[in-house]
Amino acid sequence: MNNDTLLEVRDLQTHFFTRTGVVKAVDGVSFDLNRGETLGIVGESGSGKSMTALSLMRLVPEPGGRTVGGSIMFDGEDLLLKGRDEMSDIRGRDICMILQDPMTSLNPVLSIGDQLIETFRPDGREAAKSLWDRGVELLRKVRIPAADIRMRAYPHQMSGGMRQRVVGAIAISRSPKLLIADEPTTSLDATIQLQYLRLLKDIQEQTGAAIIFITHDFGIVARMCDRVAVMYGGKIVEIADVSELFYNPKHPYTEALLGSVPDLEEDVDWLTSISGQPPQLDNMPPGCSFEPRCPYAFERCTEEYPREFTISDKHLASCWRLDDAGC
Amino acid sequence: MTTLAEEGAPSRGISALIEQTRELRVPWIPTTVIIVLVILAVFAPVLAPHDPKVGSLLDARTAPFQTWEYPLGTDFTGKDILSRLIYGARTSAFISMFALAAGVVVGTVLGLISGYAGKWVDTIIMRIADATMGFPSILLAMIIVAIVGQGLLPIILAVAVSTWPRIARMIRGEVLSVKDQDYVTLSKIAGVSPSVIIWRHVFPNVLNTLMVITSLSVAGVILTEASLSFLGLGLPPGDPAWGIMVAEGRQSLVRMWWISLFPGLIITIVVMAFNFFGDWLRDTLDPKLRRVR
Amino acid sequence: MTRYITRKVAEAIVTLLGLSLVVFSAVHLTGDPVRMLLPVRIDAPPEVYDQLKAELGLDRPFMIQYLNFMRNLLTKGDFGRSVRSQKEARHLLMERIPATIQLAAAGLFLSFVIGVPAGILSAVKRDSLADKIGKAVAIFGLAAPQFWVAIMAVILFGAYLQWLPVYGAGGFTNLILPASVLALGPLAAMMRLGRSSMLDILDSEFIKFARVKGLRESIVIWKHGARNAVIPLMTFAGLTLAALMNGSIVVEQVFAWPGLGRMMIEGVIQRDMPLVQATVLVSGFFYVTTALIVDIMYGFADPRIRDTN
Repeated sequence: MNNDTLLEVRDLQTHFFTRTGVVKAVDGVSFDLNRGETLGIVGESGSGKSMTALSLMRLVPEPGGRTVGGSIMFDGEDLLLKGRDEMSDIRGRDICMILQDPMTSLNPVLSIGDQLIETFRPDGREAAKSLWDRGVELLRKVRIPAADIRMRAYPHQMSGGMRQRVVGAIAISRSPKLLIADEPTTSLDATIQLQYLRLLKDIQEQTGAAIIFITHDFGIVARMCDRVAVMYGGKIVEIADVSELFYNPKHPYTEALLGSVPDLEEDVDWLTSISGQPPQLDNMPPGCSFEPRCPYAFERCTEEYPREFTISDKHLASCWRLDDAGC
Repeated sequence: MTTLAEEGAPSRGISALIEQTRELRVPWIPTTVIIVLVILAVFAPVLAPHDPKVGSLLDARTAPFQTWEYPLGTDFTGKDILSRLIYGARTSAFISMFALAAGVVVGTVLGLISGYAGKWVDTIIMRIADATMGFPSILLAMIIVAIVGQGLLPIILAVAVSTWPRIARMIRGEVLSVKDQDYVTLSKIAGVSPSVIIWRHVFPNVLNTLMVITSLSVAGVILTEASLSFLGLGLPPGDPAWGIMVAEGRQSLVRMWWISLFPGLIITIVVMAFNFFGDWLRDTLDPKLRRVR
Repeated sequence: MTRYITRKVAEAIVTLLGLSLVVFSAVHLTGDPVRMLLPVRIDAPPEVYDQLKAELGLDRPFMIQYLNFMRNLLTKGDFGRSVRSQKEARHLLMERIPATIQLAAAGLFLSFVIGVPAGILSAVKRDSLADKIGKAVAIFGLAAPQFWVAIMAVILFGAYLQWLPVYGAGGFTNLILPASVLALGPLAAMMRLGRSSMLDILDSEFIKFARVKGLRESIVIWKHGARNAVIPLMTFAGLTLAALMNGSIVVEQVFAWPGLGRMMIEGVIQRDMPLVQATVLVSGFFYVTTALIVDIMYGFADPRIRDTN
């Protein structure tokens, strides 16, 4: 791990233990992230992208869910070895996250100021006056007008866009080194979406945080990210720089998502949907999980999961077609 | 939660599904209890080994589990506890049925009117319902008994009064969600009279809710009836009612504990059975009512 | 907030006035109070009857009688006289009220202060042994009739084990059994509601976000979770209060607790209408006032309520 690397995830495995069997929500995910870099994670719902994020935060929903293997080296330390309180200290300070629905991320019965300031005092001790000023400062940073009045307001007294800004302010309040954003814009209309993305960019420039951006929207990836990982069936099937992935996708699933694949067999609108269902994660076929929906599938695909092929220095993909290509 | 459910980790989703399929199965213990209760009530004269009101003084104060003649013992005057319990089922079922029927009819009618008419009619009916619901039912019953006097009718009336508001509230809520449906609007435009619309279109749609809320009310009805009987506000002393029997045991709690123990136990079991059964019916017929109660 | 409180107080006053009118008319319907005052000499001459009637103001129209009654009640605290004992109902009430308040307060304390946190903990430690025990207690508490539990408690703790006094009011030990029995039903309801409410809250995004922020788990649960979980419970506070009052009538009867509940039953059975009227009005007053306090607390707990006027 060189000095630029902030996060090094290796073979991360998060499983859910249900009465019908084990669901491998995250099944051997590995990637690196540099300081200040923005990585997009793209996939359908159910691909394991949000669960990867929650695994990084060590907030996999219990009971039932558990990270059972792998390592998460963050700033040289393995987060999976941290105790409960140690992890609490890391959250908010070093890693923070903006959840899928920022509108409902604020507690309805606590004032904005309270929710902002308590982040500085995660052990619940009474906040000092200086913290109040820091809170006002933060609200200004995310361009909330009349910040000192807003500190006393409650979430229901604010507009949706304003609430999102507050959530943003809370997330960056302690200048985390890593910010995870889990589809923070899906519930927004287009203009507010743009504003919010710009805000996140601003935040990144000001704090130098690395960002993991979880989305299913390649438009956002193109706008926001340096690199992008495509997830399918709990695994990363392809990872590359954004332009490389856009112009030279190697995995058929990526092709399908980008809508660049020619229609081979049926008349399917690849731009909007991919035929077939996402895989049942508790009932995985032995071969490639994308095989049942893949237009190129051949015999080997049903037998064995493809290993990772290196296309170029920073471009990796898992597909047996690449074996013939001599990667 | 949606995040997690979608996100390849349907742990809650799957277990909830299993739970539901399991819940779909009829809960056989509560159902059996209810069926037995009905049989006892209907066939009490055949099933009861002794007269519930007349005892043989020679056999007075027999402890339970001593003789086959009186398996659950006898009271001070030699009346058979088992027979009294069986007749008590009849009393309880009788009062509960009439009180429930009255409460359900009044509650449904007022709920339908309130929901359909809206405006001030709705406000008035719901205000009264809230006031009645919030007001302690025994206090209400006492006012009624004070006016009408003791007996079967006042106790039925008292229990019914404490039952209708909740039913009216639920039905009203259902009506509100049904009444803006297209077919109701169309009927209105077509000039169909309100009573016909309510009867033909609205009422059938609230039937599920009605069944659920009725079954959930049974337990409360039985408990209220028993409490009133216990306080001596219901049937005259000596009559076979579970509440009265518990009260009778108070004369000699220590030496004749069984007089109070058995009827109370039966009430508890029956109420539990109706609670479980009602929960099951609600989960099966009308899952969106999950929060009611 | 002031507007919210004003509205709630106004509602409470209207409810109390409505109650007084209903009770007053009810008492009127029950028969001729003059005849009741002349129980021994049923063949009292008509002059005596008329004189007494005029003396009591019973010859005047109903509404005037009601207004007179209310004026006496509000200015002098005069509830009229008990028919049986001929004592002023006011004095009889004063003898009973402290015991009733003591019992009700203890029951309220137990059901809310123990029931709600127990339900919340049950949700936090879902499926643990404690949760299962809690569930069993709730199922039993909701099904077992209070009067029976009371009697069983008397037999077990009073007669056999002889741990606690079971008769009458007095010291703290006298309070333990009646208060526990009284609280059982409401406590079970609060546990159950608290549990399901907290489970809903624990699933919400703001709890997840509170954890993401790095707050300690205890703060996530008690500051962020419990506060929200309690709000829906407050809408059930009225029903809980009603259950407590129902219960206290029964419990007072079993434990020979010298409270209003027993006086009320005695009044009903002896058809002592002025006494019944007085006890019902006072119980209603306590009930409405407590409900009012709960409503106001509700407004403080949930900022959204304050703003919806």
